[in-house]
Amino acid sequence: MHKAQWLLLLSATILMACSDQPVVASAAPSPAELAKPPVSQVVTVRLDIEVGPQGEVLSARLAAGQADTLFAKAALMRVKQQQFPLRTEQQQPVSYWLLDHAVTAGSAQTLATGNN
Amino acid sequence: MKKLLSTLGIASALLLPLTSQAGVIRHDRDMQEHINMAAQSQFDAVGRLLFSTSAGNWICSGTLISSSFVLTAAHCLDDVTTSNVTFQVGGLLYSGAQWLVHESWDGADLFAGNDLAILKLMGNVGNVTPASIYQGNNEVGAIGTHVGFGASGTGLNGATLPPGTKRAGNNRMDVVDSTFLTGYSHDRIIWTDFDAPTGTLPSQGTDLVPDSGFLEDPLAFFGFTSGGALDLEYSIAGGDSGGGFFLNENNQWYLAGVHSFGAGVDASGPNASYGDFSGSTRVSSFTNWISGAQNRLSVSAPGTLALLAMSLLLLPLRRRVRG
Repeated sequence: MHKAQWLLLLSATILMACSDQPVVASAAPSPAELAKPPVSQVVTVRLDIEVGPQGEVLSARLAAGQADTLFAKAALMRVKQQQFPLRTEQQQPVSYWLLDHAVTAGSAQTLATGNN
Repeated sequence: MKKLLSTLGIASALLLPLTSQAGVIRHDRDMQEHINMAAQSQFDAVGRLLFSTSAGNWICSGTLISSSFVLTAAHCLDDVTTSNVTFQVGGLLYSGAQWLVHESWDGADLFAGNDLAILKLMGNVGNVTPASIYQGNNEVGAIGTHVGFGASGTGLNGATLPPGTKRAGNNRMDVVDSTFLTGYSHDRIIWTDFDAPTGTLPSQGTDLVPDSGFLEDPLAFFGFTSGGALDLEYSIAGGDSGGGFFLNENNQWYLAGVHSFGAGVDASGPNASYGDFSGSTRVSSFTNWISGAQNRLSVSAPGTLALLAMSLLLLPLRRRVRG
């Protein structure tokens, strides 16, 4: 091949690689390339929870180091509606503290959705 | 060019039928009011964004901001397998040519407030007036209008019906300061809550927070100034991503937000039921990026750079052959 032709071919190859032209996939994507689902973000907050003899929440407060944020307040609100395992001492139900306990305060999710 | 994704497409303009469905609204309001609101001319620039990934076909929304550029959410266009992007507006369907996802969008952190992308269309839209970008800072307290193609339902049970119909509704722009979230300090998200009308009982719905006061003004429960349910109170839902959150200032309509996510603290999660929250990317925080992105996409039209560069490279070769 003539030198000029080689130069032309080389130039064209480099330019194709650098241009904004799309690359058309010739094969189906592998499982690793599958699209991710809509983005979800779960917010957890750590609480100190006083659990009563019947498993009910007697009181709850933010654990040390937890900022008093919207989701922290939501976690405090939600945890008061929850039931926890019973504990007994000498076969008698007792109250106890769960310290630095992670509680789901809420979640967020993007709003793209399927159109199949 | 990591974030600049391109796709081949054939410019097309097809007449599409319009369908009619519902949306996530107050349970004591007629959906037709929201469909009528969405049909007002100031919201003509909001269109339906359809695309495919290796996981299936998807729907988002978007807003035309110039004759050939659409502002939408980053998470709608950030997948490497995205293809067949089309935008329907003004009764016509346009193929997506290229798009640019905001460089700070990491695909995971919704609360960081960078969920923004720009789509360049193949061809110009001639029959729709583009939306004006809001550049002020008076969002908080303004009554905004959400416009999109999201899923349907009422606040009692959230989004339960499929998306696809253009609809609109109002919500107060409550908060932009994200410092109420641990670890965040920015003002790039417009937060709203979905207020239930006075007298709504938690038992009327599914998995609502069991507190009527909370449902009627969720953000007030957390100490924010918010306000009760508006006449056409509305929450965004699946399919509304990328849609427009508009405000009216001095009798001029502006695009102030781009729908990004829903959030919830009840047992049903972010399903757009009463008491849920939503976040829209605050457009006024990104005016420079938006104009810059349009410039980048205008310059980098497919093949243009390559043809120009090839011409320049071949020029000396041509001279040498002649000599």
